[in-house]
Parts: sequence; C-alpha cells; structure tokens
Amino acid sequence: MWLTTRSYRAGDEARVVALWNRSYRGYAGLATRTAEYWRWSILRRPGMSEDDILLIESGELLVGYAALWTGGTVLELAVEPDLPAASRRSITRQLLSRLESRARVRKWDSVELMLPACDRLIHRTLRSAGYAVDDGPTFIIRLLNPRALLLSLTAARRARLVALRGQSLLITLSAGDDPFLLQHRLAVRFGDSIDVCNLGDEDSMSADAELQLSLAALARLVFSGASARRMLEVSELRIIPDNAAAKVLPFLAALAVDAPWYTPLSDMF
Amino acid sequence: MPHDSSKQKPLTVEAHAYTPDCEPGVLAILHVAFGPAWGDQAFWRWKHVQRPGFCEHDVRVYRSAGAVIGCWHMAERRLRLGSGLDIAASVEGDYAMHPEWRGVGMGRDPASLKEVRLLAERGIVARFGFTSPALFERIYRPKLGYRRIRTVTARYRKLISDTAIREQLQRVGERLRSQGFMRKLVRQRPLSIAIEVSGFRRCLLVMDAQGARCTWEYEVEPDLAVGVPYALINARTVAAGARVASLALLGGKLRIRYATRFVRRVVSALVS
Repeated sequence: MWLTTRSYRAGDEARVVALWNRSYRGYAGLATRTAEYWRWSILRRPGMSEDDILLIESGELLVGYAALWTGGTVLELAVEPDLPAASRRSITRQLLSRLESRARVRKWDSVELMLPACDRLIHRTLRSAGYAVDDGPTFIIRLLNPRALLLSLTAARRARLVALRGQSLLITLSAGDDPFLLQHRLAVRFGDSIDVCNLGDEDSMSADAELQLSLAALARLVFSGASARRMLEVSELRIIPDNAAAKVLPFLAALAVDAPWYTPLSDMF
Repeated sequence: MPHDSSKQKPLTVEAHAYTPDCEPGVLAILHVAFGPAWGDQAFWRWKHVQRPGFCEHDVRVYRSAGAVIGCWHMAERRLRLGSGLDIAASVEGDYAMHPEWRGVGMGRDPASLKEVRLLAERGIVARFGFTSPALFERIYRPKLGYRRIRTVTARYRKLISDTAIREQLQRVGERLRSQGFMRKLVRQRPLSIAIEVSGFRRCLLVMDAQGARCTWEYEVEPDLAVGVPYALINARTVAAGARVASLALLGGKLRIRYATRFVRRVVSALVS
C-alpha cells in the first residue's frame, strides 16, 4: 500500500469526518461528528495550525488522520477500520512518526494521545513506538430524566423484550446520593409499543411487578453494565414480588449499554 | 438569610445566565481555580460562546454583592449509547468557585434545583463530565450523585525532547533517593550517575542528602555511567523496570561503565 502524507486543505472536512465516524462507530459516548462540529472543535480551536492537521492517503482514499494541538496534544487520531491489520499498523506508524516530527519542529516536549486501549492493534503499535500508557480521565454521569432514558432504550431494544408483551412494571426510584430527584414513579407498559409514563404520588397503578432502586443504581445498570442479579443480592434493588425476578432481570439486562465507552481529547470539556 | 456558621459566610448568592459583561469576571474566577494555564479570553470565547448550538443558559454565573464568585458551564451533546441509539445529554465542566465560597452547599441548594429543572425542560436526559478520581470520591459521588463509568480510554505519552527526558530522570532520581538504602548511600557524599537514554542527550543525575538534580553539565566524575533504552524510563514499577532492563541487557541495549567503582561504594555503605 503506497501512502502519502499531507496537511489539511480547505474542503477536506467531509472526508475527515466520514473517516472519524467510521473509525469510532462501535463506541459509546461519542456524538456522531458533523463537518460544522469538526470545524469548530479542530480547525477553529485557538492555537491550532492547519499544518498540524495530518492526512494520510492511499491513492484517492483517505486512510488516516490526526490533529496535533499545542503542547503536543493529539486531539484526534483515526485510522481506516476496514483495512487489513498490516495496513492499519503501517498507517498508525506513519501518523505517529509525522506527529512526532511536527511536535519537534514546534519544540514541544512530548506527544500525548487518548485512544481506546481495546483496539489492540493501535495499542501495541503505540507501545512498540515507545508510548507509555496510563488511565484515561474519570468519566462521570448523573441521570436526570429516567423516563426519557427508558423510552429510548426500550424502543431500541424492543426485539429483546417481546417476552414481556402484555405485562406492566412499576419502577419506584429513590434519590440515593443525588440531591435532586425529578421523577420517582414510572410505569412501563409492554404492548405493541413500550410506553413509559411518569406517575404522580396520587396516581395508582396495578402492575405485574414493582422494581425499587435508587437513581444512581439505575445509572449503574444502564451505563456501567452493573449486574442486576448482584445488585439484588446486596439489596441495591428490590423486585416485588420475589418471583417476578425471572421477568424483570432480563428486562434490566436489555437496558445495559454494551458498547465500550471512549472519549477523544477533542471531546473533553 | 441562610448562614454558614463554619465560614461565617452569608449565602446571598444570585445566579444568572451568560451576559457579555460577565466574561472578565468568569475568566478571573477560572484563573483563581485552575491558574492562568486554563486559557485566555479568546480560548474561553471559542470554547463557549462560539460553539455551535451555544445558548446563554450554557453558562451559569454566581454572584455575591455584584462580584462573580463562581461559574459553571455546559454544552448540549448527543450521547451515543449504541448503534442508532443516542440521548440528549449535557457535558459539564469549567466549574469554579472562589475558595471562600467552597463547601457552603452550592450545587445542593434550591437555586441548583431550579437549574436542574431547567435542564430537564430542555430535554436533557443525563449529565456527564470528566474529573479526577479524588474529586469524584470526595464530591461528585457522595454529594451530587454522579456515578463513574469504566471506559476504554487510555492516555498514551511519549517524551520527545532532551528537556523532558532530563525532567523525567530527575523525578526518577527523587523517587530513588527516597528509598531507605539510597538515603544511606548518599548521606556522606553525593552519588552521581551519567545516564544516556537512547536517542537523547546525556545527563548527569546527582543525588545527595538534600535532593536529586539532573543536569547536562558534567560537574563531577560519575560514580556510574549507564546507557539505557527509552523504554526503561517508561517503566511504571520496579518490577517492570527490571524486566525491561533484563531484556535490554540481553539485547545489548543496556551499557554500564564504572560498575566496579559503584559496587565498591555500595559495599562500603553496607558495612558502615
């Protein structure tokens, strides 16, 4: 594969954004990029030079991209995911070499990147190029609108919830550590579509099962892949009646985000 | 008027959304909290008001007696949870409070509840941000109900300048010097080691009773001289360092001079 490296030129945005979105499509946490967002996030960032936005092409095809910012911070790096491993390794090496050269020209002391360590090919390439690896930043989340979250999740996972058709579930939420709880009773009805309603204190509901947990416990179930069975054992959640666990546990398992979470440096706030 | 008895600080705080006149005060409070390295006004304007989709409620300014005492920033983003599934979320940060106003319950007060309701009305489903493990354990989890998400994000770093290598070696020297035996070894007279990291300028690491310093100038004859591969200075533990050193020795990438002189010095420290 014959690779050529060059700096950004006006009009490259659409191809860069398309490569970025293809490269990280399997990860959770990222907003899908648009050209407008990329122009603001990378091109118009104070201190950014167009010379430090590097593109690697194989013929007409854009196969690699990286954006180097002040101090040697690599805001983004993407390598075409659908190429053979040897080609991806070669593109990554070439990008790293060019990034280091640019950083030396600018007299920066180091080159720093934030990448998903689960991409073993990229990880090994970086390690063999002499990069030390450390933990990424601490990513924290707080749930504000559980009804909207459950509506989105149940709509997306409807196929996994067909066994619950005709059933209903009452979810009672407690604030836990969170100082503010805006919704504390939610009714989930499994029919042709799955309906999630916010109930007031005075609204009565006869449900097939009731699930009691804190807002933070719900966040852990959904975002951190916490085991509902384990939470049941340690009383972090309660299912009433006890024998409804067989129905409720698969529902909770279907809610979990199973894609790995990744945040590039450009998305840090 | 609520009153914080521990700090004798009356809680007369007003909060408002972004207005152009608040910019100098907000930047000043960010500099108080994070130092000037946070960035200048051009950076603040790019990050916040020039961001696509910015609205004035994305900046919250806290004032007391007219003075800006704190600020908080957010951006509305789509948070992807999987293929074809995303939710409206707010990514939050640049939260700064003047030191005199920290710990008085901001973030859990009725005004904050109003802000949370405002976020919900905007359709925000979840709030997220980035912090340090220490702040998460001290504030975000116990006081604000945040949960940590395990991510696959890793930080990769490579030193590329002689200055960075020298600083790294100085840190290694400080760590070494704090070990019991090393303290004994350098008590009487300094220990100097010439270190050449492959591809970088040679340094002299001098450890004495006061501390460790690494220079490019050869002020004394070294007690030991070593040539090491770059990978060795990345080792995070003694065991990892020993592994890299062993491999380098076998591969001929670790060179040692004046070993006899150094061993003599170690033995004399052991017997004294």
